[in-house]
Amino acid sequence: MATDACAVNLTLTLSLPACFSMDACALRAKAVRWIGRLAAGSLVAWVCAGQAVVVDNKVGSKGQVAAEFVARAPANGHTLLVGMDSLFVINPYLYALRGVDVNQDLMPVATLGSNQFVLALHPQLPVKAPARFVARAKKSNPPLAYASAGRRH
Amino acid sequence: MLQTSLDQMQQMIKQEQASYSKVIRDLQVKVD
Repeated sequence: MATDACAVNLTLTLSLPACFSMDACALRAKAVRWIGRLAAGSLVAWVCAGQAVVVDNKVGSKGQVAAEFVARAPANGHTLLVGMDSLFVINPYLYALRGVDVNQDLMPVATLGSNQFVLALHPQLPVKAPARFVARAKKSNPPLAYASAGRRH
Repeated sequence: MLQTSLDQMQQMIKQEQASYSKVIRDLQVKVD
């Protein structure tokens, strides 16, 4: 039996790109679709028993685009955000201009997963702290090269 | 461990914000 909360379909807004780079496209696309299906399927099973959940990919600015979209949506519980932890704990301090206050405009509902990202260096590089590495990188000529799972800058 | 309650998640976010704000401030990094 549908409840009032299910009278309008849910929109599940994903802040993750289908792929971060062409090289990783296949793997990323598979992972993102899996997350979307998992979350959407769970919502259908737990909340709305058969109601459709629209998965809406809004990628950009490390999740800021999706966060702003959800923050500006009507506060009726029908538009949800799937975002990375960096959206809440890094973006507020990294970006000079922000269109959303994650502490005021969004409310966490559930943790969907957990992972760890690390900065890894060659063990022979004589730096043991992030600040020393940044200082070395700024002075490096030619510029240091790096590999990342994220987009290229 | 996955945080399951609103209080747990908000506490985790505040702890992480405190940690990352210090790291980013120390690195003196800002993106326009």
